[in-house]
Formats: sequence, structure tokens, C-alpha cells
Amino acid sequence: MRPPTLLILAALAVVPAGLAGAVNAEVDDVIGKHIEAKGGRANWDKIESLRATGDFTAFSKVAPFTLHRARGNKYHLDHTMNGGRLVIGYDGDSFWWDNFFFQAGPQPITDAVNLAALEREIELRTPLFDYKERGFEAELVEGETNFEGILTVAIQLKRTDDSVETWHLDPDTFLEVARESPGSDFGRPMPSRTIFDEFREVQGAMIPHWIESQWYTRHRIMDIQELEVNVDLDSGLFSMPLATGMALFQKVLGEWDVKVESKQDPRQPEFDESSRASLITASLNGGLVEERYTDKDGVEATRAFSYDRYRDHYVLTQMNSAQTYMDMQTGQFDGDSLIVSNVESGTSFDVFGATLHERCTLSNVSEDGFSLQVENSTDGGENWAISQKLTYARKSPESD
Amino acid sequence: MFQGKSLFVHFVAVAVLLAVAPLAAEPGPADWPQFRGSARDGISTETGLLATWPEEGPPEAWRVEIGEGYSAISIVGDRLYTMFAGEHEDDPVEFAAAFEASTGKEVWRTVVGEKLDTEFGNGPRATPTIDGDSLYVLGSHGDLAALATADGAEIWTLSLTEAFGSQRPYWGFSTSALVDGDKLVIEGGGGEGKSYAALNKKTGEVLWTTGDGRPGHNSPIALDVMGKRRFVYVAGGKLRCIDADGGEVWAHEWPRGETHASPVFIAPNMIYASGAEGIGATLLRVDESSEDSKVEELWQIPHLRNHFSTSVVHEGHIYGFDNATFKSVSVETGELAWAKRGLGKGSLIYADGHLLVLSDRGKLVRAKASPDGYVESGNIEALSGKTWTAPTLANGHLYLRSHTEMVSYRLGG
Repeated sequence: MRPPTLLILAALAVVPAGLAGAVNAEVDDVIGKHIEAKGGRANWDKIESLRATGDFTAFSKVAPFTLHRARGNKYHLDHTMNGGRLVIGYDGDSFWWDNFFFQAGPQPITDAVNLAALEREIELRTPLFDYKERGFEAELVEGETNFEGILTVAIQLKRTDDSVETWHLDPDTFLEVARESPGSDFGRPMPSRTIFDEFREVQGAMIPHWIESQWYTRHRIMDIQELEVNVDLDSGLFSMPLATGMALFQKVLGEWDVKVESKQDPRQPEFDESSRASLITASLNGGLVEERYTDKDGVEATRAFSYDRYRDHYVLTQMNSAQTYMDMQTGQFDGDSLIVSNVESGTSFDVFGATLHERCTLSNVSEDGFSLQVENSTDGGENWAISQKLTYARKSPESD
Repeated sequence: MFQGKSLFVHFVAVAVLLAVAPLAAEPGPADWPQFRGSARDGISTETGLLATWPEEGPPEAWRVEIGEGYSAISIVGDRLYTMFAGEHEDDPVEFAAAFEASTGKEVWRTVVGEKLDTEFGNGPRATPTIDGDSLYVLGSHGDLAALATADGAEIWTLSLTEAFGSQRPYWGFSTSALVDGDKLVIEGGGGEGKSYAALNKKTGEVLWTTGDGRPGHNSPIALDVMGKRRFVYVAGGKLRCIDADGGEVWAHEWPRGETHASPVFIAPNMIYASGAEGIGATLLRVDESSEDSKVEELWQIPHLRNHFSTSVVHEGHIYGFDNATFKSVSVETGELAWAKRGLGKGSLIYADGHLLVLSDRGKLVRAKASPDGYVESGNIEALSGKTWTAPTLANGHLYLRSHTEMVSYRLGG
């Protein structure tokens, strides 16, 4: 009696494994045909980067877009939606966007629903290429499958986060027809379908030039009209940009030796000279650039630059331990010089019967140094007299 | 002198009568007097339209500039009415306006209310309803008005927000008022039994109110099932049916969020409705044979999710947009017959064996109304920019509009 039982048990143990193997072989066979149809791994492995341009449709409006991609799924999509600019980026590690919907500058994307949707969008090639290496599970959908009435070979792909998506492949060409997957509508989970069409061969790789997505009431079309591969890209392109308007201030960060030329009284014929050290740091994604220093008289001071996106002007705020009031100056760049004053900001004050306004000019900014000139006016900004000339030279290691 | 004066007066009187007579006429079979046509089903009964379209499209009759707005075009005789946004004494407003249907020449315009400004398309949503000498219009901020078709003079006005305590929906009040006998049926959008209302169409007096629910964006339909007059609409999370006195007949759960497409009556006793959320479309069968009305769900399908555009039904098949894919679906089974992409989030009507489809970017397409496959038999780039307003067909002419232009094509044979 024992042998037959064992045989049956052995058979029960083996048959499912055998069937599973057959099923896997079948799905891998289909995926193999898909990879071959896409131009083969070798050709895709040769793609280090690409640039695509064309028309992007959203909210029933068409506008140009530029997409850059690089190995490691690095991604930078600069496009327009309903008249507003939206840039989405992935630097190989984290996602960010500069999203006009938020009326704010660049910021990291941290919402899980959006992240899950974007992780699918940034994939340069279909995840079927390397599903095993990424720990995904794939299986063929049994029975007759179709996408919008068109017969397909459907593969269900389970990702490591347990989310499931369906890849519809053309039964004749094995190119991808559509993907049905979880998506996001402003962070709200929403089933999404993405259609791939107009495949063109680019250096041996078959790349869809029409990518159409639909979810909820949304409809997006990326119509690629030009696509170049292995283009030279600025490595910083994929990184989250600094806060709006603050790129120049990167050069003023660091430790500085400052030559101070000052006049206590505008009638004074010559400037008094002294020197001090200064430390300038950035915070809030570069949105706030702050200088801290102590002057020759022991007065501690702070001076901070920022950009007000809503009023489109720069703001200088400054305070010292002697006056302990916050002065605010606003202004714009004039050529390469930033000129701010407190004529409009209302933080001037009265001295000996006259209202004293201050104006600061930041200029000659380079990696090695810059200048800051402080002027005062007692006639409401009609005439200005220089009260301080500050010359910043980057502190060298030897100068310590 | 006396004789001469009499003749002059007579001449003027005849001229006035000639001018006014078409305005007061009852809508003919070839007119399009309200949202989605005479029966609110998107179907024109006109026949003998152009058998084939020239390669360059049907001949253009006229084209005029128009302000922003989604309101569709209503027509009786040679008068065309629609709504759009513009400026009046430096204020941004919404207008109701009349045009000569044959020339596109503006006849009058009347301020209806403040302009709705959203970042996704400004201006009025609702379509004027023509009833004899009166025109019923609704501004985006809930300003309902009865106007004289002859000159746009105000007959009465009613603020929905004041009358029913409602708040403007984000996309603006959108319901196209429905005339039924002496009543004007409108979504009031208020809570506490003021979701829907019937007004005396001549005075604006509120006759009854019913239901709860914030204002939506779909418009009601009127229908007769087994001789019983009913109004059907989506409000307050339900597909609702009320009787001629506002009494609830039935309410079907409608977990699809905000719904823009109107229900469609499929005679003798079925109602199709669809929303943009994943559940999609539903077909109901109504049984009014006993005292207690019954409603039965025949099918529910995820593959026909109407957004702003309502489907049409012809010979056992539904034709409509599944968000941005144009589809044909069997009424009997709910099964997909065919799907066609490339028209964006279009809108459509049916006429003379064909579907007249306007893509969301202004491409006009004629396709055969057949479940056997999508067969296109003409197209033309009719308008540019965002185009979310369904076509109107009246007296052999097709009328289209966008946020900037209105155009008429001759389709008559």
C-alpha cells in the first residue's frame, strides 16, 4: 500500500510544480518575444539617454513638451498643462516636481499614491524586460483577452509592493498595446490605462511615439515628434532645482573675508577701513540665503536674501544686535546687480528729523567673490550716499 | 395724407409681425429648441442630409466670434440662442444672446449674471431652453431668467442660491432648464428638500421642491413610462426619478461622484446613465405597471464612463465617450461593439444614419451609426482650441461652438 500512496503524494507534489514551470515557461516565452519585438536587450542597453520633443495634450489643450531620460530611469519632463508649466523629475533616487497647480516652487514628491504612479511612468522600457531581477511576478491572463475590443496577449505583473498591473501585448507583434494599472488623480488612487502606439525604430530599439493615458476624467497624450538617443545631458538636469530665483545665490555661499569700507557721516571725506569674517549659508532648498557676522564693534548681525514668487521681487531682511529691528528691502536685478531698498517696504526710520532709507546693491558675483554696497538717502530715495562698501573674498584654507 | 399714414402703419405692423412671427412659433420637427434637441436625446429627426461630404468638409454657411462658454446652441426657426461670457460696462458678465440662424448676425444680448472664472474654462454652462415667446437661461452663478425671445427683455429672474439656499458648484451651475407643460423644472441645488424644483414658467413662482443634494452638472430628462410623466436626473448621490408633482418615484444608488452626463431614456421603459468614476454606466428597466414603481438594474459596465458628454442611443446601441475613447455598446448586453481613439473627449449627436462627433479640439467627424465598426465618412477641422460643446442640428444646418467661435455648416441636401 505504501508505495502507491507515496507515488501519489510524489505526483501531487511534482505535478503542480511542473505545471507552474510550464506556465512560467509560457509567460517567459511571451516576454521573450516582447523583448525581441522591442529590439532586443542589447539595443536597449545601448541607450544611455534620450531627448524627446513634441506635443503634450492635457485638459483638451495642446502644448509643446521636452522629455529627457537617462539610464537609471532618470527623468525630466518639462510640459504645460492648461497654460501652466509642470516639470517632473527623478534623479535616480527621489522624485520632485515644480508644479504650477501648487503655486509654489520645486518640491519633493512624497505622497505614496503619486510616487507609485510615477514609478511606472519613468520606466524607460517595459518592466517585463527585467521583472525577475526586480522581484516582480508575471503570469499570463488565461482565456481570451482584449483591450477596448482588440485582442491581446495579457500579462499580469505583480510588483514588490503587491500592486498589480496588466500589460496587453499585440498577439502578432508582441509590442505593448496598453497597460492597465493603479494610477493617481491628484494623489487619489485611480485606475489608469495607458496606450502605446506609433512605434518607431530608434537605433534598433522600438519606441512608442504616442503614449496616451486615461484615468477618471483625465486624458493625456504625449505625441513624440522627435526623439534622439544618447544625447549629452547636463548631469544636474535630473536633480531638484533650487528654489525659484535663487540660483545665483549659490555662488555667495561659504566663508568669506570681508573688506569693510565705511563712513559714519556722509560728509566724511574718506572711508574707514576694517575687515571681518562672514559665513553665508542656504536653507529651505536654497530659498533662504543667510549671512551671519560680527562687526568690528562686536555687533552681531544677520542678513538674508530670498525671492518672493508671488510679487516677483527679491527680499533682503537684516537685523543686528544693536538695533534689534528687522529691516526689509525689496527690489530686482538690474543686469547682473541686485538692487533692493526699503523705500517701498516701509521699514525705514527717522533720524534727527529725517527719514533714513537704505539701499543695498549686490554685484560682481563670482565663485571667488562679490561686492555689497550700502547707501542711504534722506530725501525719500531721490539721492543716495554710499555708507558702506563691502568686498567679499572667498576664504582660502590658508587664511585660517 | 390720412390714407398714406394708414398704409405706413399697416406696413410697419406687418413688418413687426413678420419679424415676430417666427419667434413665437412652436418648434418644428427640424428645430433644436433645447439642450440635446427636442426630446433631450441628442437625436435629430432630419433626413435627406448630405449623402457624402466633400473632401474639404460640408460647406460653411458662416462663422462668427463668440465669448467663452460651454452653453450649447438652441434653435427655433431662424433664431439661434446661446450663452457666452464677455464684458458689460467694464464688468465681466455672462450673456444670453440671439443670432440669426441663417447668417450668424447677432440680434440681441442680455446680461444674465456675473462671469464664472475658473482656471479650466470660463463662462456659462447651461443651454437656453426655448418655449414659445420665452427663453429660459441659467448663469453659472445660479441666476435663472426668463427672457423674451424677441428682444431678450427680462420676464422674470430667480437666484437659485437665494431661493433654495444652494451654493455654486465649483464648475458653476450647469443645468439646462426643462419646460414641461406650464412648469419649468430646474435643479435648485439646495438641501432640506430643495434639490430640484418646478417653477411656474410664466412667473417664476416656485410650485414645488424635492430631494436633497448639492448641485451637480447634469440636466434632467422628461419621459413617459406607461402613461406616467416622470423626470429623471442624478443628484445627491442617486439617480432619481420623480413624478410631475416632485414626489419621489424611485432612487437608484449612484456612487460615481459628480456626474455631468444626463440620463438617456430608451423607450419604452429603460434608462441609461453613466458617470466618470470607475463603475461606469448602468442600464435600468422601470416597471410602472403597479402602484409601486420598480426599477431593476439590467447591467453595469466599467467600459463606458461618460464625462461631460452624454451618449446617444440608436437602434439598440449606445454611442458615447468612455472618457476619451469613442465607443459603441450594446443596449441588450452592455458588451463593447467597437472602440475608437483619436477624438479626445468628444461630444456627439445622431442624424440621418450618422453620428456627428465633435472632438475636444474642434475636429468634426461624421461616422456611420452602426455597431459593426467605426466607419468615418467625412471630417473637417471645424474649430480650434478646447471644444466641449455638443453640436446642434436644425433645419439642415449644423451649428458648433468653442470658447472663441461659432460656426454653421450646410448639411441639407
